[in-house]
Amino acid sequence: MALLQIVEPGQTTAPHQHRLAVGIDLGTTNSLVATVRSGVAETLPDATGSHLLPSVVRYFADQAPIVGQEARDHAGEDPLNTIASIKRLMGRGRCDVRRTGNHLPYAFAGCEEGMAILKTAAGEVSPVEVSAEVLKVLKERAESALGGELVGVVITVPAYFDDAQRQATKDAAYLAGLKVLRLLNEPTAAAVAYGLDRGSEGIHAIYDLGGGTFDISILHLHQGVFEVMSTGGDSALGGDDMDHAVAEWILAESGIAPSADQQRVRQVIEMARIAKERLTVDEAVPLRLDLPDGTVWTETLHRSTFDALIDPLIARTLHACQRALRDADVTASEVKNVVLVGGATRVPRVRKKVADLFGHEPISDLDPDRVVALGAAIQANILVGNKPDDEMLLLDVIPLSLGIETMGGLVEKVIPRNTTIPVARSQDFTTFKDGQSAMVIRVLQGERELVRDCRSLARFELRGIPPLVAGAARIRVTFQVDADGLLNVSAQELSTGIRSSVQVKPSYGLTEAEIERMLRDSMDHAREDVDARNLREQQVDADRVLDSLAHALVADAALLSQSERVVIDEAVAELASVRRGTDHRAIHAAREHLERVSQAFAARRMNRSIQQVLTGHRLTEFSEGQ
Amino acid sequence: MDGVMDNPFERFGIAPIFDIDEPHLAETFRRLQRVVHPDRHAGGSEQERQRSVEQAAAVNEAFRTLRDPVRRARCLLALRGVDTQEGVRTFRDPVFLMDQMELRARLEEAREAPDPLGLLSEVKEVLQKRRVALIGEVSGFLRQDTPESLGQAAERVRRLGFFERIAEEANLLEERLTDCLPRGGMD
Amino acid sequence: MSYSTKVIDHYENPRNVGSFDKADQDVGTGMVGAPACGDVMKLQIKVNAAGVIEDARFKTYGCGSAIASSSLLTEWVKGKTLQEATEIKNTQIAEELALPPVKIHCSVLAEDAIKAAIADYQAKKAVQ
Repeated sequence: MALLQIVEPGQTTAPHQHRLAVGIDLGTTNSLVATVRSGVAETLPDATGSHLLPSVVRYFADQAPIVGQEARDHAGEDPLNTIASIKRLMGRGRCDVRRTGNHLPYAFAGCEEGMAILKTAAGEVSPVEVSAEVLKVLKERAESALGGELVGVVITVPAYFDDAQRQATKDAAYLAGLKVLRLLNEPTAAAVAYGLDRGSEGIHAIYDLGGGTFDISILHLHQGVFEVMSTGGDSALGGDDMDHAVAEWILAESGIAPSADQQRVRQVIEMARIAKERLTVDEAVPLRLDLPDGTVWTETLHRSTFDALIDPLIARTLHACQRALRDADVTASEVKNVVLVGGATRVPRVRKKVADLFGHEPISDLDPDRVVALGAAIQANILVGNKPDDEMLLLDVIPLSLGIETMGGLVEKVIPRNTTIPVARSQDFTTFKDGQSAMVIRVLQGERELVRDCRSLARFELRGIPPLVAGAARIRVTFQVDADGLLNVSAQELSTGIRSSVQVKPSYGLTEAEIERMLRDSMDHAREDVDARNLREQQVDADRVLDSLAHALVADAALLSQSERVVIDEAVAELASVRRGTDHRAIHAAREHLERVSQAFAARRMNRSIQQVLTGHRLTEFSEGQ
Repeated sequence: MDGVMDNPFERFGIAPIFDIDEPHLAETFRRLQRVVHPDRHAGGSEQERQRSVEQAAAVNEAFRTLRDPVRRARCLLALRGVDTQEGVRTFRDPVFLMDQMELRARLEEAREAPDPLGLLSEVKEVLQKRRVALIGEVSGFLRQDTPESLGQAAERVRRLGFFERIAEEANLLEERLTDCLPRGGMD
Repeated sequence: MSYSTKVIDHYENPRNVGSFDKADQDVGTGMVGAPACGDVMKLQIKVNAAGVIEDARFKTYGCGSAIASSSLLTEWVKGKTLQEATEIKNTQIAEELALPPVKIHCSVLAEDAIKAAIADYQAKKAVQ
């Protein structure tokens, strides 16, 4: 048992060392990064002391992009290259752009059917790359504040984000060099930050109105377990839309044509946003605009007018709330607390309407701009292993039904909305031609019956179906949604046991090959940077596995026979040894080898823990592996 | 996946009977998820994480089956070799079907009535009463555990299928009635 | 692709919706249901002394394909003898409406409904 006593930098025999992990709120308007330090969750400011990072990226022809307040300050001058609210385009297509009207007044490339792509001075960029720029800044901010490399990050997404939007978020993190521990739903993150579970058992609602998205989640909380009962919302509705409603009013009142030049429109939108914020405190706000003909237009915007302008938007959110309550099978009066999250909930009219629906005053003690990042930081801290005894468990749901296209343009639902994740469902298919070796399955998300009324997610091409007579093959396709809410499709022909390979062609996203290419392109010194990055990744992964295994061996060495233990120890020593070097392939191989030889041990541990739950007492003898 | 564990009762370590201890079930669910959930295995290997996803999905599925009386009944019948045949057998009991038609007609009428939500909530109450009564009958038949009583239980489960459908219709109607949005908003 | 135009037509302009008096001696009533999807179908025929179906009515709660299947069937049986009506196969209905595979069971339900209505009528006649 003495083989593990080597102490090396990066390798530890003390499984409870603090690992650097952060939570990131990648918001439509602003982004934040937070961490848990000395047991307390806090957001990290930049050098000037700002905690919020405006999610704005400005591109140039001849220099690196600028991110944040500086970019936003110049939005009016350079509207086509200053990209804001990119979250609205994550996982979306060119066709969605048209629907947003002048909310996203940028130049677009690409075809009607595919992903939305922006034309900037720096060339064509995808929404994923724009988001990656924001994430890079946050990564740097965190690593400089914490004095080390991040082991992992929890990134939040609106609960109502579909698979494509989630995958795009994960892709952006990958491009930014971040290891994603979990995609966490924003309302759930807020519930964690508020520590709602610590009170007595109850049902709580989280009303999250951000810059561009709205979520409502109904959760059942009890002693560390957050069970989401239902979730609903609108991934294209937020504070931005309030700004636009006011901007349209200003344009109409001042007589400026809506088709006026982009600069002017952006300025009016900015004016509207400031007016909205002022009206949180003041009953009326004076407006002043220089008109194209040289005159000056002045007007006073009263809160009552503002309320009337935004009431239709609020009504939409309340409608989603009612549906979520119905899906959860609870009444508004059964909800103990309703928590407000997101900057737009500062608007007094919003608070009033929410209070009316739920019958009591909502809670908003924590800063609605920061609460999501704080919750993410708390979960990141646990996932990375800093609090092995923490009992917190987040049981989330899939927000939209998943279905497959069947003949006749109909959608057959495979996984209904609000199903607790992870979830796996299987469907059997057969071939219709002799020797057919491939099959295409189109997956959609949505509640409607017809394909054209749902969102296309991806085409899954199954290849390598063994040649059989038509109708003889039984292909079991398994749809698995993981804890991030991401779909994974696998297929197996049942009579032969042969697994098909599955190629994913996302409808509005990037293929793996495209991401890898983007990663390479983003590096100036391509070759060295790729190698350095690979090395870092392998070292971090190796450390993770060594840490985790060391902890497991301390707890459950009794589950291994002498000979099994020797094999594992040898593999550990091998990995520890190559980890000291710079050959990332060798580290990768040694890690895979260690994972293989310790797999049975891991399975045994899990089974033993399961048995303990079922029988309710500790088993002292070890059982044979499966 | 662990083949033998396709039996949700075994997965939760409880006896395969209809009348279960619901708080105990919920507690077992939480305890099992604390062991298998991916959040507990974020630091593990690829295989370990995949296994965790599979196990957590299986626990979720078993819980879904066990906590809903109708699904639980179907499962128990299947374990006893009785197929409720809901996909294939046309249902022919005229009295029952007549009642179904009347309830659906009432839902239709509610839409045009002066107090639609009031009428709707009356219908929902009736639906709830019928459902509870049927579940009680299912429980009784399952407890008797004879071939005839199991057949009766299966027949009652087929009836409950119809009630599930009406409940969906009622919910859809409620959604439409409470939908008072002005059309043509921001999109 | 979407529902076939014929299905949409029957769904939006259903023929023969309504009821006859069940107690009427010339009326046969068939009531069937599909538990899996909760569809409920009532199909009634009015038969004359010569054993020919003079008129038919239906009332169906269910999806578009179920409504269209029963609507189509009530059109088809008018003027047919009981024997001819009994011979109608669900596949004919499915083909006429171009039903996709997942909706074939709706045509099966319609076939079951007409057979039940005929059986009900014949049982009444046997008692007389």
